[in-house]
Amino acid sequence: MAKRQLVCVVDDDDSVREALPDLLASYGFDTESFSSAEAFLASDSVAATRCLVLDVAMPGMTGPELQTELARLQVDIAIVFITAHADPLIEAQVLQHGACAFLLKPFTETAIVEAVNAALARG
Amino acid sequence: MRVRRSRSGPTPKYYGRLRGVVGILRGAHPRKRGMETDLRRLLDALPGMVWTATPEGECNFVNRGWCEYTGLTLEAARAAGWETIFHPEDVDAAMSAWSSTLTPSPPAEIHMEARLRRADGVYRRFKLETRPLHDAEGRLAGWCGANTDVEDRSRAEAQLAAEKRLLERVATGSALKPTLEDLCQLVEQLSPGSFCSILLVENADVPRFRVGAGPSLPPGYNDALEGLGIDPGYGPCGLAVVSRSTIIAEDPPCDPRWAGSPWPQLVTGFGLRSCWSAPIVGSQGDVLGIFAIYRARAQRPSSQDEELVDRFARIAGIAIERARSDVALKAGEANLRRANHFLTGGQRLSRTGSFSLDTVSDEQVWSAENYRIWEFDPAIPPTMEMVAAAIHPEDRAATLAAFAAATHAKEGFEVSYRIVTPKGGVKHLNTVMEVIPEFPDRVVYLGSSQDVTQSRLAEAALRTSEARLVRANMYLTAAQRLTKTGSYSWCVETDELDWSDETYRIWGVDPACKPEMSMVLDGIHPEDRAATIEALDAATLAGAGFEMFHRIITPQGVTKHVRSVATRMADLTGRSIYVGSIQDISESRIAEEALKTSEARLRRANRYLKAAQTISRVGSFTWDVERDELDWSDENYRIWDVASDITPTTALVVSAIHPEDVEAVHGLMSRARETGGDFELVYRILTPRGAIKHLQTIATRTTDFPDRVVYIGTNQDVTETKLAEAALRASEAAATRANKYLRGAQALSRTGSFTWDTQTNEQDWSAENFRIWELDPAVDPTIDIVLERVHPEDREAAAAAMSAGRDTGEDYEVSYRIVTPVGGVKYLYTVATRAQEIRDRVVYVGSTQDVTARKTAEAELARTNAYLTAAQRLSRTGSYTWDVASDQQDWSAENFRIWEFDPAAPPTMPMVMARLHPDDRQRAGASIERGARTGEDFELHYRIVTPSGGVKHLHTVSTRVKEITDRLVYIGSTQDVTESKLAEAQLARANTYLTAAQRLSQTGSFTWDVEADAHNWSEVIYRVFGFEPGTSITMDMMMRAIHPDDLLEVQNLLSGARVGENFDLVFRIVTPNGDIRHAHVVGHRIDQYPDRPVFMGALQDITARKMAEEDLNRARAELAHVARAAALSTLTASIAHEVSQPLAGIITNASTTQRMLAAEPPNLARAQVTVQRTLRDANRASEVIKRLRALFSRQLPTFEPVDLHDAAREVLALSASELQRRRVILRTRFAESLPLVQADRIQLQQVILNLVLNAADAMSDVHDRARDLWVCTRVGSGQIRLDVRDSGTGIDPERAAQLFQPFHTTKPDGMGIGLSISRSIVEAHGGRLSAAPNETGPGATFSFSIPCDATAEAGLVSRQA
Repeated sequence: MAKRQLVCVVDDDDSVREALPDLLASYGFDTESFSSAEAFLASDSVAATRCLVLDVAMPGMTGPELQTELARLQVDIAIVFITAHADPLIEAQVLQHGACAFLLKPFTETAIVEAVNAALARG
Repeated sequence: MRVRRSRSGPTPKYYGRLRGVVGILRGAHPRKRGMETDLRRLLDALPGMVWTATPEGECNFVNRGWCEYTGLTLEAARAAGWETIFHPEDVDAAMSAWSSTLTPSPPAEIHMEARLRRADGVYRRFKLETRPLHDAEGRLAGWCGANTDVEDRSRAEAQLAAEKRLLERVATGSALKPTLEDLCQLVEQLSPGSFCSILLVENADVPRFRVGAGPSLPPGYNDALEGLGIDPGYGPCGLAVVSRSTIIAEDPPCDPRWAGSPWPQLVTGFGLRSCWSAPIVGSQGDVLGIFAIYRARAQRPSSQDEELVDRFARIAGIAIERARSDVALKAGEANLRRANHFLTGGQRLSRTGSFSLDTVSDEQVWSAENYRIWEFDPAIPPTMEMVAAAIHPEDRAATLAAFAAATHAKEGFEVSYRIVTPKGGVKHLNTVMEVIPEFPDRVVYLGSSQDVTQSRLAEAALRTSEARLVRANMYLTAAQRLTKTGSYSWCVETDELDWSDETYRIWGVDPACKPEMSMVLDGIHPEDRAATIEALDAATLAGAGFEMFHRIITPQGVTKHVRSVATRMADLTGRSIYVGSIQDISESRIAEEALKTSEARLRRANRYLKAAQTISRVGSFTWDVERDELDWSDENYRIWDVASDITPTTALVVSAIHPEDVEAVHGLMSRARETGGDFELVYRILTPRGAIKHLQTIATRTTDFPDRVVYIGTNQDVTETKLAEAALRASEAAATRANKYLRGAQALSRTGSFTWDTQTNEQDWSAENFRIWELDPAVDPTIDIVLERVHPEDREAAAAAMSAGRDTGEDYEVSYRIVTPVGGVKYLYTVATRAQEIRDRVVYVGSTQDVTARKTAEAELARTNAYLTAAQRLSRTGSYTWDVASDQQDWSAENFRIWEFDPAAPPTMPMVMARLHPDDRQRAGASIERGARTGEDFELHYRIVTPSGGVKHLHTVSTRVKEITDRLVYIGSTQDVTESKLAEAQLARANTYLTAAQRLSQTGSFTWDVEADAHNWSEVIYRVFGFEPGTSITMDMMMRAIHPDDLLEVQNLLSGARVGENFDLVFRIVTPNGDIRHAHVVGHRIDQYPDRPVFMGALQDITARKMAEEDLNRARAELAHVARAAALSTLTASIAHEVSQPLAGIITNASTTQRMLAAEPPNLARAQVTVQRTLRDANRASEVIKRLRALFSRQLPTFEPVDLHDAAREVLALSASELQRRRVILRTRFAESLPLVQADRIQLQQVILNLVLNAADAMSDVHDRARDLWVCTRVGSGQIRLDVRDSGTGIDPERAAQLFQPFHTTKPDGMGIGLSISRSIVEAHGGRLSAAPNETGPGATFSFSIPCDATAEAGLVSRQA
């Protein structure tokens, strides 16, 4: 990986939001984390983000809503969804709208790293 | 093709120079002669033809250009005459011009055009400029001329004019043939001596020529060419077509290319020779025809000829193409008309409309079918606005967006959407639009709209039926698996077997094996084999189906019970095929066992229910509609008054229904049979004993039997419930009273009890009450009767106390007097307390005590005192003197009143004796006689009968007047003691009642001298302690009998008692034979012993009540746990979410840690941070688990100080995710600080959880506003309160009370016990749970409040709980 690539984690839950960036950083990714979809949209990092690790259920704008919003803004970011709720309907919906992966919490290190790598390879 | 520009004529400068030159030539000046040679050279060098002539017209010089063109020398020209170089037709004009120029003076210039012969004999057109030259004196010195070749220019002009004419003809759409002929004639004019021909190429199977034009050619030649096959070897025209180049046949007979062709002969036969053929090439590069020029002489074309041929071949091409496109257009138009005709038909048939749409002007043109599809009026031009409005609202945005995007991109598009027709119908349309390329400046669409409603519906139907099929298959497979039923087919002739997967499983055979009949027969249990084969044979022989039960032994040695059913069918070849199913029913036996177990569980649950039912007088039943089976609980039998060994039937039920209600019940039952819907009904029944009962039946279909309708329901005896409640309250009130009045046994006398329903004004009196009021027990007491009896002076106060009680529901007590029918006055004291069990209205339970005796005693004291001071003022005591010997009596006025004698008549002893009660006369007479005889003082109690028939009790004390010694004179007083006598009698009666009441209520009385350790017990107490009655009791013995857990409290009581404190305690006793008894003891210090504490009290055996309470509490706890588990089960997803979050953190952190440690060098600092985070997340997860464990636990309630905020927060944390999932916005407004409450934490959390989940449910149908959920707490007036406010559908205030009834539910999947249990929990905490619609905004608020400073109460509650 010649160039470090920015992976952003958006999750309202502290546990994942604090843990995941460190793990991804240890794999050589640049990481940033946000506690809400709105915070991410308001940040300067949107354009630089190559991959978004995005929680589904959040207060305010939900993960799938952020996905729709990014599509509307024509910002193409590969998205890996993570959620603690298994919901086949939402899974099918976000994958149909181009999400790269849909991971159930808790997920393994391999699963998340592979998903992020696959997402970056797609972008 | 090159366009040659004609050379321009001589310029003015050119003539200036020329004039100078000629002047020099003309000058006879010898000096200038030398220059002449140079000038000639100069003139020679000039382009064009220049000449000079003498004034007489004799040519004296021609330049080289002149000579070269004419091929003549000056001399030869002079000899022949200059006019000879002119074209014969132009000579006259030249001559006349020349002569006319000589006439005027001075001579004029000559400008003319004329054809001059070239050396080769060719005439070319020249512009002739001739000017006179003058000498210095102005005399004519000679002429000079310059001839400019304008041949090319004029040809070009002629050509242009011709082309223009032709193109105009083409453009105006003239017929092809005349145009081409015209073209030929024009070319023939332009190129004299030529004969033009235009041949058209016809692209038939064999390409051939058609004569387009040949106006000047011999008709025979044209005819010969007509229809000629195109052959390059035949002539130049064919070759020109094939080679696509101009072919020159200068001299055909000599041309080797046509040596073998008849053409040279043909062409020469018509007097023609040369033929130049040029291909007419169309705009697409195809050869349309040939343009040929013939000449009579063998001749090569000049460059002008070639150009002419090229140009006119091209014009011919344009004309031909135009003509062809006209033909094509006409054909196209015809086609279009035809197509349009077909299209209209097709559109109608395919329900396809077409339209065009100019996106800029919004101009739309619709086909008729399009109007039909949209159901628009064809008379009104459609607009985008109309179209947009007609699109189905759900599809409108998407469709218009697609349209806008396509318009923006200038692209065609296809879209499917629905429209709503003006009549409200919905159609599915499919519209395809293409951009028409003809309008580069704007987007114009041509499109078609197809009504695909039919196909959509068909598709939907297809999909539905496919889905159904898939589902059915799925169900079948699943059903087979679930029911352990396999299917098979068996061909009798071939013994071929075909098994389903499940059949393989049943037989325990690998699905890869091909099943064989021998395998089947071998697999049958040996004991069943013979019978099974026999049955099979019989069935196959008869060609009938079969059903049999037998056992099989699988290869694994497992014995199974199976049921095999098959029907016979014939296949296409007429073979006998059995298709059947095999079911493993060994499992169903296990299932039966399981059913029995669950039935046992149900029975156990039923036992709990039974206790609850007995208390609430609710019977339950199940009703299997299909089988018409009823199953009744014991209480139900009691309610219906049917012997419990009778099997209930619907017939039995219907026969018991009150005739007026039969129809309603019938209707309800048949509706239930048809719809399986829940029902609720209040109706009357007639019991076998003739009683009328009001029953309320609530039934709901149980989901346990999806295949048939089975109801489970409750019957409540509404009438009985009221009576039972009243009875319960009465007995409780009696117990309370017994306890209360035991403090002083005196007080217990003359106490009646009553209940008073303030709503119905119904009263229920005890017998004693009737006695106190002296009312007839046969007459129902009413408020009016009561008030009427109240002493007029007290009436207002008594009425006020009662109405205050009725209005406020608060307990009251009142003292007042009543006047009995015989005019007696009684002092009564009434205490009324509201029956807590009845919430919907105010019902009092009370006691009325006759305190006349006390009042009388008080009065007596007063009288005694008064007597001491002024005897005369003694009321109701008469005084008298009696002179025994003379029987002279002197009575006070009061005495007359008492005896009811006329004061006017002096009383005598016979009169007195006559008035004595017959029963007392003898005894009283004897006493009086003895006094009269002996002079002893006497005192007498006796009765008199007054003239009105009343009986009075009198007390007479007589003393001999000591001062009178000579005779016997008594002075005495007579007191009317009627009332106290009555009181005494009543006391005696009351004591009898008390004894009976004590026995009935298991209450014993005692006295206890603490210091002396002296105990005086009634028999009941001995029995409670399990001691031998009469045994001498010591404190030590008692303490040994106290339950160890209660010892501390009893010791506290003892130390209090030692200093004279009254006590009231519930404690347990362990009897010598190990039974545990619950006792309630109340002790009051007796005032008679001021020096030491001596108590008098009562002890009640409340074991039975306690046991019932404990049973009830256990059942309640069990029910609460079930309800809690049910409530929590709806949170499963939420809980999984709560645990998954920290778990995701833990795993991620652990992975990160591992990587930090594995790094070179290990990153210990970061690793530590991640480990800390891991620990934090793990703690968070375990917190969740801890909370859950607590909520799922099945422990009996324990009371402890609880922080309501903590409890609420835990519940909200567990439900947060569930609420988020349901899009509920949770807000809290907690009081700043809350005092701790004495409570069972888990039960309180259950209440909060229940209220929160109910609130979320209530908002599930809310889509038009935020689903706000407020949880608020506040503290005030000794209560803490928690509100759960939703913005849901709200509640009907009239039904608010019903919300808390058991089995009342508005939710399809609810048990209907959540709120009922919540209320009983809150009430066990001494609090209240209430519901009210929100005052502002939609929704409802459920609130509970619990006393927070009620430590003492909490203690009481904790003992009861």
